[in-house]
Amino acid sequence: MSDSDSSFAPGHRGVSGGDPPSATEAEGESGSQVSGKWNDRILGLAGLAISVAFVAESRSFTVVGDLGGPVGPSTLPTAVGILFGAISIAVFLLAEDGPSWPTKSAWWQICLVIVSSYIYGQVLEFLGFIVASTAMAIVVGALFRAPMQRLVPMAFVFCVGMAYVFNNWLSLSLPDGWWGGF
Amino acid sequence: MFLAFNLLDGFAAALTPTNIALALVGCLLGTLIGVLPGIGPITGVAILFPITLTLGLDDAATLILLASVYYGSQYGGSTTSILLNVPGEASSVVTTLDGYQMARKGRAGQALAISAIGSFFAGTASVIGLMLFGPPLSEITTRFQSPEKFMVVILAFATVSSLAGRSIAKGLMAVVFGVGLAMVGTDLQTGVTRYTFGELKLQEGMDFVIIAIGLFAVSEVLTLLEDTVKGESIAFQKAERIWITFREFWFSVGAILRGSVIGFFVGLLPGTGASVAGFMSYGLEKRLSDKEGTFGKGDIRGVAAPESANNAAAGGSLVPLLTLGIPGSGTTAVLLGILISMGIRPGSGNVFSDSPELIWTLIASMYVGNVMLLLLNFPLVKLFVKILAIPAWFLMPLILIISYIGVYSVNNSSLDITIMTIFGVLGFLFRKLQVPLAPILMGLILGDDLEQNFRRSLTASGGDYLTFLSGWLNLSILTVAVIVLFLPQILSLIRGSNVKDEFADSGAEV
Repeated sequence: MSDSDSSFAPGHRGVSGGDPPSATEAEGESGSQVSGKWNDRILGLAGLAISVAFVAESRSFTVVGDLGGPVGPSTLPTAVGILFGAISIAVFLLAEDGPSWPTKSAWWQICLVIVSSYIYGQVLEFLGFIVASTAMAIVVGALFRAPMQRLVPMAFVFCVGMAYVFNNWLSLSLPDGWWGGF
Repeated sequence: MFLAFNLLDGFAAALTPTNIALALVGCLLGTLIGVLPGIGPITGVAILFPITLTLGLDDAATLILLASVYYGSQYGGSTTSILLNVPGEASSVVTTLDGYQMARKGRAGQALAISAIGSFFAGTASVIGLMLFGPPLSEITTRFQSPEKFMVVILAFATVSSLAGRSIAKGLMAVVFGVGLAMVGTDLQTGVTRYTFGELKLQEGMDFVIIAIGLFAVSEVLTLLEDTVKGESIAFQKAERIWITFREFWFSVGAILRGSVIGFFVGLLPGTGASVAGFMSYGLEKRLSDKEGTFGKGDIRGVAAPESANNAAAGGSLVPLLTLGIPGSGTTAVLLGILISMGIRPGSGNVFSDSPELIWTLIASMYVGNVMLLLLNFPLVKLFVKILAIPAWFLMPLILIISYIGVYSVNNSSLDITIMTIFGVLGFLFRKLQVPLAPILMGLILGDDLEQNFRRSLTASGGDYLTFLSGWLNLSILTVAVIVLFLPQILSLIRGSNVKDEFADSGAEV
């Protein structure tokens, strides 16, 4: 394992994998800057919308009779919703300059991890832990620019090892799926 | 004498072969977690907690393991601060100032050694402090009624909001968002389901472990993926000599002693936490000792002081955690959630008399953990440097798979993986928008306590909301909460710079 396989950037929390991007790619990967304070303003507006929905939903929490005492099941949710709305307005009014957002290609890759993660949850019990997790590890590793000839066996061995340890030593039944397990 | 007996009982429980082995494994795992930039202490403890459940460990053993992970990850975080200029968490930010400069000059071994010695001394001193201050303070909390308990939760929220980012509004937004999450599920008092949208699984409420892993671990992977696309990379330094000379040690003794005292007392104050302790002790040491202008250029005292202070503060912060239920950091917020899930509710009673076996075992395990870390870390320094060479393309999938296992093991439900993913996306967006994540967890963990005490108070007072402002104790707690909320601004005025900006710019988790 060479140092170039992985390196950590001083001053950043980031980790980078395999091949560095080309000069052109790197220039284009500086991240987009949403103008001025609109990030916080959008956050504030989204918070306000959530608070309105939260309070509206809380009005449907009713109990028959005097079960709730002076404070029913909707009292604190309503108060929390109103407070959240007030804070959201403050965030809107006190907006700060926006962050650097991921580039289009980074967004695609991030979305791919999210979608893969969702699909993983859906197919885990059918495919079983070993198959689903190895596939997931390969997808994520590929996005981190893994050399496939090393990633595939490492991911498989790791997942088989985890399945063995959890099923046999820790008595936690990870799903076997159609492929079977330990 | 009573304390000594309790402590001896604690040692008897902590020094069983199983618990020693767990402390050893915890310290090793924790240091590994702290060293790896992809996993912070919060993530590490959150991922490991459900796994401890599958091990069938009793409560004391679980606490020993997770507390050891916590100490270990703190030390590991300092290691990356020194070797890579990458602070593992906010408390080790200040260590980068001189630690990384020492590493660049080929003195990484000495920096790591003084960090271990300072951490050991300060950690041990703070445990003695916890032992002395904890029980009497905990006794006071038994006098709290529901309104006081409600105000203490408000104080805890103010605490975490104040130091968790640049903007107080965003800190409060995060806390209230977390409280909102706590409202999801069946209301135990009336049986009404709230915000479940017909989903049976949601009737049980939101599990903090699933939310924590999503917010921290998954969002961390997404953040690092974005960094990978940017192509950020650089080679790191390697440590050569790993021991310090007696002269270097003697040179640092004053800094260690001062750092330990400052750290413990800063840690006692709710909300100040290890980060402030590190900055304060570094600032003081610089004023007292930096006659030749060597601080910031690789002065060993610039590592010894903050490392001692942040470890002493971590011990000190267990006093408000165990007595009032107020955590001083994201990791202790997770530990609080774990204690609550074990049926121990700090702040709602005297944990030192209600659960003496558990609490004194935890304290004794801290001594054991300190010794173990000191013994482990010197031989392992070179190994840690090698661990840093684990490629990101393997580390990131590994973190995700371990997260999936952790989440799946909570209820054997793949729906939990979907919920975790949703919170991973939210965590990523919140990081981008500089909304702190730890207060969300805090709101979720303490939201139920907030509501129960809110209801009890109003039931007892016949619906009179002024009950929360009656009595000197309520007003005092409220005053402290307001002061704590604006503490960074107050400290900035005193120090002439923005404490929050230093945290936020460091990119460290709070």
